[in-house]
Amino acid sequence: MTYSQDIFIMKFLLSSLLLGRSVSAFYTVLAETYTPVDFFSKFNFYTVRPPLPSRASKFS
Amino acid sequence: MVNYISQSAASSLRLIRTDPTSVYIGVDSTNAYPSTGRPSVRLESKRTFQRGLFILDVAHMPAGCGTWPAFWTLGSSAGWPHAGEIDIIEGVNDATTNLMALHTTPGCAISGAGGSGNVISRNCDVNAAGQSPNQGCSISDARTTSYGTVLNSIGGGIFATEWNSAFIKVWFFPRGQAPADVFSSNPAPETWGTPAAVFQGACNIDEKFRDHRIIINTTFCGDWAGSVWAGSQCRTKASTCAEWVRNNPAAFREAYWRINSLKVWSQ
Repeated sequence: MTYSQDIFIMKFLLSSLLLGRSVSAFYTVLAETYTPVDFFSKFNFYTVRPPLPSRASKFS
Repeated sequence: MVNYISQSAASSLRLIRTDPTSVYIGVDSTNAYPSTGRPSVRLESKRTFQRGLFILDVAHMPAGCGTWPAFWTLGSSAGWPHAGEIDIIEGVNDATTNLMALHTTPGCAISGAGGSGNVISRNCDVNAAGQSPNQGCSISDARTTSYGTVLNSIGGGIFATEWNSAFIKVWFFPRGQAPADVFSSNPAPETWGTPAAVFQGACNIDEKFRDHRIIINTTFCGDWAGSVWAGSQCRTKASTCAEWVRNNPAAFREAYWRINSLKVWSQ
């Protein structure tokens, strides 16, 4: 086995390992963060009573 | 029994406020409301989500008779429950454990296997035969640290929800017991051990749960907290939940959320 073949196999094994982790449960992208600095600016304050069963929408 | 108020009104009444490390989300605990609802807050995220890892660091949650707090997600692209509902933290009155649940249209059920919690119901359809109306599939955390006054007494904890095409899992870590990578830049739930709840089974999750907004609210009485009042220890305080909520503002001093952070991760 040549040096280049060794490198190829190592890269293949490494990428397979990384791919396997990412498919199962490995999170790297912070899609959204809510901190005290900006918390309330990222939410709407909901005040309308929808015509739904109260438990469904947790109205009472 | 509840009067959800605007941001400006909530700020004026100091029902919402921030400090350098947390946000406070409370209810009116000063005044009686004999004829109108008690002021409270219902937050809905401006952004919608489809799958992901949701990590909530909560230091305190509403507790006590008459309360019905929830941290949950709700499908925004169709009327309830056509885009699904995921209840991550929920309970009523003097509950001692957290109840996690899914609510869907027909055709979604869970096996109940894989989690440490107690499976209460397996059919996520809100109209499932043999289950209470709107019950859905539900799993109760077995630990009293997971909800209410005991959760608050330990400084809260971390609720982590992993939602993908195959399953929805919820972990709860009491304060000081979360794995280090929960707070890292690459959290790996697969290393976190047994979840409190595993929702997985005969259910097309991508079809049943779509475009969810995160909701944080505290309501009072209603279909759940009000209907179980007579069977709880709260019945010794007032003949009805509504009477209690209207006339006892000081009883709601502990009815507040204190949240350190909320992060949503994707792959």
